[in-house]
Amino acid sequence: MNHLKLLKMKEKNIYNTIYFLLGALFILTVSCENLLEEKPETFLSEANFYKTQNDAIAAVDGVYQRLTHQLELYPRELMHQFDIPDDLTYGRVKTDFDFYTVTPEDGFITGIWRASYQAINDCNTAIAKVPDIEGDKNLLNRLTAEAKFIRALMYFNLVRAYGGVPVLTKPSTGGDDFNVSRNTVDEVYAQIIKDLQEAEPDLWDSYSGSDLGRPTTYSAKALLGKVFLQQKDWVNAETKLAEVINSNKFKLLPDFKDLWFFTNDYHEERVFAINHTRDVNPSYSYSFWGSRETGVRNPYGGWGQANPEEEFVNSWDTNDYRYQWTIRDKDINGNPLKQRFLLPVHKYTVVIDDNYTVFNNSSLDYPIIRYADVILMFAEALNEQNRVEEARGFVNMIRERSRGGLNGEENRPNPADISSGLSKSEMAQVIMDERKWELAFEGHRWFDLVRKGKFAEVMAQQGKTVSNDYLWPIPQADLDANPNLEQNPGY
Amino acid sequence: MEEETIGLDEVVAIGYGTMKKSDLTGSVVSVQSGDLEKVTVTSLAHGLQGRAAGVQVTQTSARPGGPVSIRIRGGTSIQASNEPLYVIDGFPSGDLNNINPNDIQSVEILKDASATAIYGSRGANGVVLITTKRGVKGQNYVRYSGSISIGSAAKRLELMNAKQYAEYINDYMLNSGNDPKFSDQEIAQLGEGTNWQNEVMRNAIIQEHNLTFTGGTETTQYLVNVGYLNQEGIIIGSDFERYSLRANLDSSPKKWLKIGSNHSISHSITNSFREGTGAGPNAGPIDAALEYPPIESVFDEFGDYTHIGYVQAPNPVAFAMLNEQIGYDSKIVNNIFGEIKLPKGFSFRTSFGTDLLFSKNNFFSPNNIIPGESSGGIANIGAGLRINWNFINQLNYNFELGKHDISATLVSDIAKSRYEGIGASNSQFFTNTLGWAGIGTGTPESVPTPNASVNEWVIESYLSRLNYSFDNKFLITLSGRIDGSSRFAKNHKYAFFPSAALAYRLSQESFIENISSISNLKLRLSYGATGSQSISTYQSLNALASLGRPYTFDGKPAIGLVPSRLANPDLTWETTEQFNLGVDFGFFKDRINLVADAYIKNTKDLLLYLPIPMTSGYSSKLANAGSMQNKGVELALNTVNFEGSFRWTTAFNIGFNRNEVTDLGGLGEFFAGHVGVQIVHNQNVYKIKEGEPIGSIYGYVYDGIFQNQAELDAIQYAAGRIGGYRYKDLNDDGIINADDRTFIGRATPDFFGGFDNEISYKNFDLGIFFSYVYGNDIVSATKMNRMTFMPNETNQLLEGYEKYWRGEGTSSEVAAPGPQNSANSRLVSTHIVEDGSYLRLRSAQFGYTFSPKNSNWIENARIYLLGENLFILTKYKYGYDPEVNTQGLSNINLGVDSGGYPRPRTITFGVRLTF
Repeated sequence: MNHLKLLKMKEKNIYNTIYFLLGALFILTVSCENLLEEKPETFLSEANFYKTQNDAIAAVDGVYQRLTHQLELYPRELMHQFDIPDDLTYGRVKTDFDFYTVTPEDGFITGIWRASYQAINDCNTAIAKVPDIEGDKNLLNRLTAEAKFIRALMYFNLVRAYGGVPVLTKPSTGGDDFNVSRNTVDEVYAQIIKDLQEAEPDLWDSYSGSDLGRPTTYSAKALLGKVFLQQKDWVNAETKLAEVINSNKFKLLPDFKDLWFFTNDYHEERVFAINHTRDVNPSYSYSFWGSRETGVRNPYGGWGQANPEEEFVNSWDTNDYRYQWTIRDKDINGNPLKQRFLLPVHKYTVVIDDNYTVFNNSSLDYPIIRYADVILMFAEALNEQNRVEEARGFVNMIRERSRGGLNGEENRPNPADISSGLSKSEMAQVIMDERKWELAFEGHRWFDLVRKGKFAEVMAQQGKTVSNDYLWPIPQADLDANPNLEQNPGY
Repeated sequence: MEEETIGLDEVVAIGYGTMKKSDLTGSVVSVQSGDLEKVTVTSLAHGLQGRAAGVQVTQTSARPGGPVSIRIRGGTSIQASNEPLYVIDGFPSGDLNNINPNDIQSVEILKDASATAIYGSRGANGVVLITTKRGVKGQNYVRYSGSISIGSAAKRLELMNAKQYAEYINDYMLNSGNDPKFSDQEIAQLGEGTNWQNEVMRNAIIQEHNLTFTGGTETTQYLVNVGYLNQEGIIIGSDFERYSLRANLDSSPKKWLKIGSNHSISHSITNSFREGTGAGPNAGPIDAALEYPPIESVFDEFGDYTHIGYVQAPNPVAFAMLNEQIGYDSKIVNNIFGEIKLPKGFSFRTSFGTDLLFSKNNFFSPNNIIPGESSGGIANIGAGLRINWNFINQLNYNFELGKHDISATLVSDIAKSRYEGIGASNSQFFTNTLGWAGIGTGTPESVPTPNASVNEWVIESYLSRLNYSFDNKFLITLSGRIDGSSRFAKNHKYAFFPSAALAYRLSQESFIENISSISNLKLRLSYGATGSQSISTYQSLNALASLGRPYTFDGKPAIGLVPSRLANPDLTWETTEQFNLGVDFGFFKDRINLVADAYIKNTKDLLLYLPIPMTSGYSSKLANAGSMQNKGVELALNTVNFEGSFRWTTAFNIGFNRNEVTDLGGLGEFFAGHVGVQIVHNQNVYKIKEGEPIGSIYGYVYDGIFQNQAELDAIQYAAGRIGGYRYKDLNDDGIINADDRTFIGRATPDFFGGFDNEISYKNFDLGIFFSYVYGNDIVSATKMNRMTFMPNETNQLLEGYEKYWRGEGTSSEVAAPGPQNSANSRLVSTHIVEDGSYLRLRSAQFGYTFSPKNSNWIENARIYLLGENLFILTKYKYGYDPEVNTQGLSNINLGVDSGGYPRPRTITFGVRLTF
């Protein structure tokens, strides 16, 4: 009996031990909050970024990345928005952009708006964070200034396309009220001018190596000149553009065609351009302006989203050297292309090696401001101040280069110099036309027409009805999300 | 619904344990292997369709190995996942494609909170418990089962033929201000041309083989199953192959000890292509087959695939044949358990499981087809390793005293998952010969973009459950669970989920017992809370990202970082509270069984990606905002109409669910995000609004075609053109614009369910099974892009050709072709919203079972003929099938039809031999 009792006691002890072990097991699995803490491993968070000089460079290079990483801005969509509405361009695919029937739901309109404001928030973040980073002040100030330059460019694009848009200058955070209202056109311009004026002294005069292509102090001056000009502030425009011209840093290339070879992207006429590199951040310009008639992946061929309007092609003096480098009316074998509304724009479809075989993949940098534009803007600013003769000299510089007269080997008869004795309004028309020939399909024409109050008139000649102050619709998605946002008239 | 196959004394799985069916307090539906075998051989999810009241199974893609969406009692969440939790032999698991349906013994679907609360953290969308087959003492046999099927497209869409196409294009050209493309002579020579649907479709062969070895002694039982499935898709370039091996072992070496283990290895290979990605350059072969001009042939005069420039879509055959998209999944699941019987009614169970998934994807697109052609060929390789482990310890207690019966369970459960993946891509290949394996030979101009991804989460849970039964009459279940999830913000990680349920077995009362016709009567009442943490990891943290393509300075890439996600410091659990009232009836010795349930589910703190104005630099922000309600009724009726050598049983179920968004955290309403650019042209399709159900379609009301200038002048509409569409000016302001949109449809059904008849006579059996859905709407992107929107040179539906506007009074249905109508014809409107109701003859099976008398080695044999998707009754005609959801598992973009994979009609011959 005792034996049995002992066994039972032993059993009891065993069970006690088992229960103890079980309890321990439960407690072991109870752990602290650490187990549940999330550690980001493959991405950076604000907490571990914006610390070093290299972080500052990456933060600002991210801003540029936004400009070309998707189609929404410079690789393609801005060409839709800026060029197709003008009288030189036929929008073969996005006909609603050509006929002003675009709706607020349009994907391109939405995409341009979204990407522009993403870029602005990227700039706002860099401008807020970079100055607090320790390091080479000269470099850090320049980086901040670059972000301000890009922010100004974005607002300049937006204000011309959409009118008075909301001006945001601080990085967005989780707790913000995002239901912003629209600012006035003047308020947007005031911010653009402020940014450019602040950026100008901190940007560097020139760059080398892997910094080539960043905005210089002269990029800021020239853009500021362009901004003043668009506001018809002729005096300030003259001042800023004169600073660019008098710097002697730029010159017109002797041969107009040399502007359009991607192998020559960093030429002396470049004031600011968007950088594109095949396979990395390519431009779609080749296929966009290429011709459907010559066919995809053929010389001068492409998707043909836009082509020159037939009237514009026919109106051109074909002896003007710029004609053959702007409009391509022959195929690679020299045979004339038949369908004149499908001609390629030669500027963007220059054949180098086999670059036509790779679709939507151009290395050609997209010009924002080149020196010829600066000179013609300067001529306009002078002419508007009744300095017609001074203006004439600058227009003739452009025409001289077209003749191959600027150290060029050839000296063609056309286009002849503008003779003296024109009235101010005649000279204004001459400058407008010269800008048309020189800068066609570079995203200026629509704004030139608007500035001169001639947009409605010129488009009426093509049988299209549009008001001079035409603006694109604010995307419906943002109107839906933000009750404080108002649509542009007509939608 | 198959209650007749399991008696009240049978045991069902309830999560962390089992229970006698008669003791259940919650709403649990059990589907047995017999029913699964009757429908399908390829995936478990197909087998569940129409089988359980309130459980809606939708095949989001009908391609082999394609995903399936399951909604139990409606969607509880707006943007977090709505898929139920799948638990295989006690361990949560994600993907149903990797499990061989032949391995499954039973599936229990837990619907109400009393049943699901035990899986508190992840139970809000319902729980599907899968129990695999195990060896049974004394049942020693070898079994072969196999089948071979032929599938073909159940439907083709009617498109324009070559001649009609040419006439259409000429009208298109004239309307664009161009010369006609085809001369009358050319048109006269054209005939039918190429039917691209026929070119990409084929008769698909499906074969499946299983070999099972099982047996058991008093102490040890085993089951080993080897399976092979090879399923061709009915579209060329798509197929699915799966090898599987399962071994389940059980042993009781001591009276007080039981140990066991489950092992499964599966390897699947999926060949596929993009689908549901839209039209034009985004089209896959299914969309492209509808777009590609019938005047073109598959091959050109040189024997190469025809390649044309005037439409953006790729040659459909070339796309399917040249592009290579292959995915491998190797899954190894091992778990072991031990159970110790302790004195005084205690027992302890511990189990540890690991789930390893290795997946690899190869993609190659050569330089002569979209998408590779624009980059000189594209190669992508992705590979990932996911390791999940789960450690569960549980202490059980059983106590019986007289009429009192108590059982209690205490559990700790920790689960961790870690995924590491790598991806690489390259382009510009000098040769297509090497395919994806030549990824290293891309030209140096390309920027190599290797990327790594890491995804880790942890759930830590403690739970307890108490069951009390008095006199087998009153049953009470109480449970509570504390869950911590790594996905939420600091200090917001833990939550408590309680539940309580009561059941009253009236049939045990003498006053009911005396009514001989009533064999079972039970009332059930339950309430409980469950949670959802089904969002991506790291969402509470702010993030910076390097965008896809770096900027370049002097041709050299510069990596930049930009803000990509707003921080969410308050992010926490989404919680669903559910009330359920149910009744189980059995009449005439359970020959008639009726199960009825009514429920209300309230979900609060919805995990929402709130759209924020794009001016912020972001498009959305994740937050806990708003609440939603689902309420519904479910009925399941099972009858045994005849008994004996002629046996006829009927099973019918129906589920009604009503969903309403009750609060949106002050937002009132918002658009639920865009459907892809090329699908409905970047428009908002669904609006989420307080008082409206999710899946509410928002758009214009179609109002015919402007027939003349006078009609056009009568209203201000910027995009209006003669021969183009007009929409109703709902707010009567004289302008047709976005303010005239309203709710124009609902993607969620009024009711759905299944209807099954089983007849057997001697050795013959016949099963006829219908499934149905009623009252849901489909947004037909196919109709928009192939009929109402005719601004380009792609092929169109024949109906569009017959009905397009050719002058005043000629049509009020389809606009004149041409670019002038591009803006007004691609709006989301009533014109493209279609009724998606259907009744489908899901399957019909005829079988013969016998025991060969002359054979010493075949014990039992069965042969059967099975037809699936033989017949469908539906009004929907602008797509292959009304059961469509090309936007996948999203609860927002429900019911969009854009190039959905056509559902096959399948005839199967099968055999099962037991040795």
